[in-house]
Amino acid sequence: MLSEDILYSPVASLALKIRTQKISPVELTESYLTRLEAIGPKLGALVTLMREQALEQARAAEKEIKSGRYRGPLHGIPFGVKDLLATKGIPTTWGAAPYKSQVFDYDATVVEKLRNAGAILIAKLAMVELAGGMGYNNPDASFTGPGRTPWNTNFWSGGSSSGPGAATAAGLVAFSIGSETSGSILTPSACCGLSGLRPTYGLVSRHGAMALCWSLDKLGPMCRTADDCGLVLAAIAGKDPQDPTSVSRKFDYPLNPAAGTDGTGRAGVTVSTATSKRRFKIGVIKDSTKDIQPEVKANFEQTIQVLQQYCDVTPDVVFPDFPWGNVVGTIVNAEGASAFFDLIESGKLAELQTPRDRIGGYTASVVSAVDYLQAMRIRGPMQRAYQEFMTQFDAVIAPTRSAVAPPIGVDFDKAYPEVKGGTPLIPAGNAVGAPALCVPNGFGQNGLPTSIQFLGAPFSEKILVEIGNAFQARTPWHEKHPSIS
Amino acid sequence: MSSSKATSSLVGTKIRPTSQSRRRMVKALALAPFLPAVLSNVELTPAQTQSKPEAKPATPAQTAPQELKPSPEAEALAEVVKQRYGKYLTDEQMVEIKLGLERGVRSRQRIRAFKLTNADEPVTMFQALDLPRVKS
Repeated sequence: MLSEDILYSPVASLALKIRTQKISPVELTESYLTRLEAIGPKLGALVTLMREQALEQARAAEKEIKSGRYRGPLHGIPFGVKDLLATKGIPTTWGAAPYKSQVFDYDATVVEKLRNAGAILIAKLAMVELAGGMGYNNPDASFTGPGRTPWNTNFWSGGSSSGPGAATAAGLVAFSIGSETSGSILTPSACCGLSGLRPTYGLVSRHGAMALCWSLDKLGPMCRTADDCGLVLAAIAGKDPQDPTSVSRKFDYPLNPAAGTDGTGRAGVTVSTATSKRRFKIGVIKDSTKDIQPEVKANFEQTIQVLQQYCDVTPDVVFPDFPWGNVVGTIVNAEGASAFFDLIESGKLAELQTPRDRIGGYTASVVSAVDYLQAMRIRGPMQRAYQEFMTQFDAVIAPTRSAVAPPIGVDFDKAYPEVKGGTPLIPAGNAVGAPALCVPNGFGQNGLPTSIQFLGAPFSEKILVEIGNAFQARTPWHEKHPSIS
Repeated sequence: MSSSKATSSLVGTKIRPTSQSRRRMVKALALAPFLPAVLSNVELTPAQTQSKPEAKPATPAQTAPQELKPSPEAEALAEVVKQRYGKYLTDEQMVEIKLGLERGVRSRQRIRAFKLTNADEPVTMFQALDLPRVKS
């Protein structure tokens, strides 16, 4: 069993050790599998452990690397995926009891791409049932039970990518893949103290992923550093003929040739250092810290001070005013009710875990076609306004969440009734298909992490990762790990 | 059809926030500070779209679902739900459904209030397939 220091290492660091054969992919995989088995269920993070397939793949990776065929920074790296990605012959449950026995005969494109990069899939990770599309209002919204953040297991790991959040933060996998329709990568990343990257809509193929909302769903990396997010995104981005919404753009993550110790400057030897020479332009959303938890506010204000070391920071930026949440909510209802039409018609919503989910599909199913189309039409003006707004900034920032993770067993609206503030960045970013990176920036109540989000222009992931790298080169928060065994 | 007119109408069609609408937005966001936005959007809507906002900020308790009163539109939609799915639903669930429908009705009021031009197309992506021709 490898030490916790190694198991909590960023992908970039693990890659260097694997490439230089200081650790073996088999040993690393076995260590993560053991840890997943022991800790995963305590966190409500695990659905299916893929021991045999993973070890077989690890042995193949080891053999390949020893023979000098190193595929790149993900070669031999164990990871997990949210259980909405199809995996051939392995159950894909979508977190929901009615789909517990569902098995596909193909792999999602993302799974295939990561396999081709040499990464080792070791687990299907828990999620909020149907990615939250039925309107859950409580952390206990999965047939595997509530996801728990490893920082304090009385609190939620966030959703809907609850398992990827908890497992990556607890050192049960090296990285994970989550999905976001509107908030489902950023929220669990924030609740678990991770770096999470929601890519631009269309940059990553959704083929083989559960559809909740065709026009909003995205897949992206959940990692322990921003740098890792860049490495993983580089492996999964790109046009896929099987997903007509995917775009012909690659994401070439800039590797720092001066970094690393093997002297080659090759993939797998990146470190968290900014590569850009210029100062980034950052806008702070007006009233970001008004009426939010005091610790979240204090950490955000300290973060701004750090950012000022390498960015030009403009305070009190007024975000374009649109009915962001209303539009996204209407689209989620209409597309979600259509995507799950058969489930709704069958009456099997009754099998879902949380009472709100058992009725949400019925209310969603009566959204009119005209209202849905009006929402889709407003997205045009939204995109143009956002495009114009973002000509001023590399990124705009706000706390990812106004409060730390909510407690298990309490409805969301009763968790922190004193918290009244917040920004519309999450629904806005999703409505216009823009990327966002969140990174941990301290701790708040009950020892729980706080987080900042950087929202960028479409296809500006590289800039966001560079900003995140530079922040993490100056702060220790991404290096902190929970004590859990 | 996308046109320069549509683009140039951007500013004109944008909803001008009033202090009341901003207050409603803040109140709404307060209800779900940590929710995934998928959910929070649904949860946000009541406070964002109340036709007569309170003079002072509401607490979550003031805007809790049980204090929503279904409008005639929500009642009518509930009848549709009952006709389609009543066999699956208890009376208690129908009460919750009416409240959920009311939240949706209020949310969509804000969407309906947004001014669009005839040139503003929905962001759908249908493409005709250029299939191989039949060989003669």
